[in-house]
Amino acid sequence: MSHDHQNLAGLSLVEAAAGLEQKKFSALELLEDIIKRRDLVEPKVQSFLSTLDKQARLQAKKVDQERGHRHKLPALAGLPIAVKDNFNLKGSVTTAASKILENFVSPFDATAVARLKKAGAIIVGKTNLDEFAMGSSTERSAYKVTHNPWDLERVPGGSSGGSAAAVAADQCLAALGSDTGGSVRQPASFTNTVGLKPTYGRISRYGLLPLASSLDVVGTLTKTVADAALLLEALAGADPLDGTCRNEFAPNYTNLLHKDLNGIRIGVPKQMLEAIVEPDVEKHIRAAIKVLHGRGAKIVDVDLPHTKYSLPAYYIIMPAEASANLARYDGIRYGQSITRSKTVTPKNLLEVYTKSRSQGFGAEPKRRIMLGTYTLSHGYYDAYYRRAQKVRTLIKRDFDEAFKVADVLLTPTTPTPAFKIGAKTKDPLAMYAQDIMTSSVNIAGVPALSVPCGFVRGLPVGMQLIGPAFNEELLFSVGHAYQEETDLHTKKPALK
Amino acid sequence: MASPQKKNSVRVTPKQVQDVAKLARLTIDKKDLDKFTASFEATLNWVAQLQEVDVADVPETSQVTGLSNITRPDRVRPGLGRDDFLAAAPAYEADQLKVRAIFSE
Repeated sequence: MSHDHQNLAGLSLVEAAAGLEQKKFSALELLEDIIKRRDLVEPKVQSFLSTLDKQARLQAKKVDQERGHRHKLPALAGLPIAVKDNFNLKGSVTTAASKILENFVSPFDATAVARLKKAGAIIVGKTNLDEFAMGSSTERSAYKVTHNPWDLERVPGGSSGGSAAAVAADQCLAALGSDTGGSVRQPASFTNTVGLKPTYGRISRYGLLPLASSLDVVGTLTKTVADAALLLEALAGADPLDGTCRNEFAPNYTNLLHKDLNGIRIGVPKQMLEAIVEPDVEKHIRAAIKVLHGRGAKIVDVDLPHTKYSLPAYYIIMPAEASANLARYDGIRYGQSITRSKTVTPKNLLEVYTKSRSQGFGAEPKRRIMLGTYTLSHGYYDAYYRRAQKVRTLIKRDFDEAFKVADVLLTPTTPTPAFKIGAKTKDPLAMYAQDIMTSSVNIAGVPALSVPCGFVRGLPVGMQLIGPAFNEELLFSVGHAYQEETDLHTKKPALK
Repeated sequence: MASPQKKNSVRVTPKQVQDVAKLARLTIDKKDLDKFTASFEATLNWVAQLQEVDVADVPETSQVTGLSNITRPDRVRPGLGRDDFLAAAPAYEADQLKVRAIFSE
């Protein structure tokens, strides 16, 4: 098996799968190129919290052996993929970028991880995130800050910043992320990658460390829309281990990519355009609309009147659910515990809880747990949480109405391109405002796809395509058509 | 007190912050308490803008799947083995998880 020295790490999933199948290179060669690339740029980018090279090499060799014997291998065989460090991966350290899970070794695989493995993917490492997925910049990791490959002084976005940066820098061919209020799409927009947030209930959440159980979804960061379709085929589908995962038919997304756009109605919500902060973002959105119109789509205006209330609703619902989900980190069954301390002896059980948690959690988890505890407590529950759940109904109804007159909605993913590291850490509310275009989508539970659509001051920005529930194939066909007409997704960062 | 009516009308005291912290099984260091209280109060005032929305006769949405009462067959499945469980435990003795007493003498 010989090949010209190609940049194997720069390939997409689809290209690499074809190359492997045609025996242009081996899975081991592909993996070694990825590892070489990863290690070369990692001192600058800092995407990974841990790597799994030994197991990866064993798996790659196995794939190469099997390709010798078998006629057809599973869809992702030999493809190096990274996983955000809030997914359990059996035998690997899973930290959620928090000190409270330092050295915690997962005793089981998350379903999404198990499905990647079943499809033959090679998991190369765990990527950095904001602690417990709480953040929009990956600056809130308790371990390190990830740098945007497009400008190392800027954030890659968050909370799936490590995954996005790794894909953008060719340190892996694709990565898993999670999206609760925009945590896959916003980093995708900041790094010129494709970020998929599927419908709530499309992919099992079993084994994904929960943040907000009614909002969290498993998502993907890929180089192209076609890659996102390929990955979703492996990940989608019912799971008896996740009662919120609907038993909804998952089509072959790759086969549906080339659907004709003629007559597809693309709705542009004016409230989202009004939320843009940087004028050039609007310029690129309008240019993207023109491209899609050129492919036969019809453009219509739609209204999402409650858009501005989605952020405060999100910042009531999410911390409330997070306060319940993070109660499990109590120093009793796993994770950091004051009982392990050689210097401090807790006086009683309450101190085991309070000291373990106060030492283990960073400032942002503490802030959100406190917010959630307050809004759920007696006397405040009706004014905050119950009211937010009612506003949630209104936001969902906005989308239901919009989808009566449009097939797909198109918005910017973020109000600006990537900001500088440190620019928004002083004021939590300034950071929360990052989610203005993305959080309403999680509240409504519908799917969305961020696709690179231009550069502003040399920094990438993405457009967001939003679809009705369980209609990811429509997002893929619109996004794929756009990528057939443009080459933005082929641009790579210089990484100086 | 529970329903903020006017803009910036939510007030939170450091004592209240400490009470909430106890409920959440957290402690806020004394040196951080005032700053934390101010930022906590600011966030609560910001989310309170939901008071502007007319939610009369609007039902709550807890989750969007429309699913309810998902069951599985009542069959024994393999769970987490004891060795895996104890490998993660902060304190154990004689193959049992060790914890502080809940009831005092």
